[in-house]
Amino acid sequence: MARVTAPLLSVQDLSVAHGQVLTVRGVSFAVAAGASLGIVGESGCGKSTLLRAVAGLVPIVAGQVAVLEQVLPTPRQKQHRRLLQIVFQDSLAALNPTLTIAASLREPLAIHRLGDAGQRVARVLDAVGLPQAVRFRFPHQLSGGQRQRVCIARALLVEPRVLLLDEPTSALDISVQAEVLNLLAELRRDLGLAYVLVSHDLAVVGQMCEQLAVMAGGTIVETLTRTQLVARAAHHPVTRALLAAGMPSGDIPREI
Amino acid sequence: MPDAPLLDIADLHINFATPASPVAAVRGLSLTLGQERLAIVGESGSGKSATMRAALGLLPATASVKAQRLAFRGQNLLGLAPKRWRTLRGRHIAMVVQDPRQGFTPVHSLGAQMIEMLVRHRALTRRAAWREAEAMLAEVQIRDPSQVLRQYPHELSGGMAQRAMIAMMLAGEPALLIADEATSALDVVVQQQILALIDTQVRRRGMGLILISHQLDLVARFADRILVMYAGRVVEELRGGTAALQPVHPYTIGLLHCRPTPASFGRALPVLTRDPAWLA
Repeated sequence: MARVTAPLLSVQDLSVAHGQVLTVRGVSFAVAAGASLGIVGESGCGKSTLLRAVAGLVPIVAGQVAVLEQVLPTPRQKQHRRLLQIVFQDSLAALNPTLTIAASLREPLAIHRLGDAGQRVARVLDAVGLPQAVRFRFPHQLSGGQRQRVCIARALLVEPRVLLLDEPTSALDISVQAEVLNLLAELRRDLGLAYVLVSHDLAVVGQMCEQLAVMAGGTIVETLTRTQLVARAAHHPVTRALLAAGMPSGDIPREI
Repeated sequence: MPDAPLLDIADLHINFATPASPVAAVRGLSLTLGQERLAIVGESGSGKSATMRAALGLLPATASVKAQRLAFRGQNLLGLAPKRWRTLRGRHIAMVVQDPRQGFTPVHSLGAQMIEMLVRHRALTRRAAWREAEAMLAEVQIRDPSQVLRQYPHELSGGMAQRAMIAMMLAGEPALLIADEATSALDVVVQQQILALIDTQVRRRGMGLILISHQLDLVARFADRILVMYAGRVVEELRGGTAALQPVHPYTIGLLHCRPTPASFGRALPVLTRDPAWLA
């Protein structure tokens, strides 16, 4: 694969305010096509707000978001929203409880006027490893892992370039988390997507991302490569606290 | 009966009635708990929470509970009258739930809720109860107790609310504390702090503890014994207190392998292949 020099997603000096308080303060990062950036931090550090701002779901007070060197306007228009899709932590809250899965999946297709709805839905269900029969189910009739797969399918339907993932597996059992993380890794490789993954779990970020940024107080305080993460080569106290609490050191028996 | 175990469960079966057919949530579970720290680990639907709710009389009317024995300190809990349950819950058995802000009433201040608990279970005057509530919050390392007592649950962070919930659950001086996914809604740093806090209090007060979790590696360090549940049964018992677990059952081994570690970074994670024989 040819290396793309210009980043797919580029965020510059992004700031978000809640009333008088800046919850995100001048954050910049870039992600290439096929790459994955993890954003970690403790509750309240601004990582979810940052992701929502990149997605265009909360207004920004300064800075800019660009995809393929095209700066996205505020408010976003339909063709911009199509470039970036977001997957949330709570799949039950993210899906309309009164719609069947098929109806939920057809909504983005109708909004973006994409034809062949039936075929597209069938293909995307295959891609995320769900049986076609889930079309006729309602969200509450599915397991948490199946529901999160539906949310991923819905994000993929409009053929985005960037997937924003906000704690996509925190609500899932460990065994289901492994399946969903594997699915996300395969989709990134097969579709050349760029990921921004927000999590408080360094093990999940290490699994999924080659780069990670640590946030505290609304800014990025440290960036690490995966190699540095594994070597625990961190300086900021927040990173060290996260490492101490949430990174297995590998003393778990791995042989059966 | 002072010599009776804290919790004694033999051959517990819990079925939930559904329009289609009854669902067996727990299928023949037995456990005996002394003054120890027990972890019950399993995935969603494995029956761990249903078991604890049976021990607290909190199952919905659609559940049917059958057991050879279900006793707390020798007192039979099967078919206990609602009034007797109320004297038991909170006072002798307390439970810390996953989402502290759901465990509290949003419309009353924290102080009002803690005082209600102390007046009901410890027969304190309101003034004494307020002082006790302040002392309890200080004990769970909340810095400004009198200020926090005047606040409402939504004004607290998740970690702070969970500390307050633990303080309230300890206020009745229970003999048994059940923590049902008490740290699952918190970030990893706060998770460790809350587990350490529960651990300190349990040791100091000589209580029994049951930690319910789906994260085996997280609770292993804080438990003397670990029961692994799968599909309504205990499939394995492990010795805790260490991160180096030595599981034998393929389900437990599979669970440990699914967790991302530096060895798996950037590669496909092993997934759990479920063997129908585990259901037998």
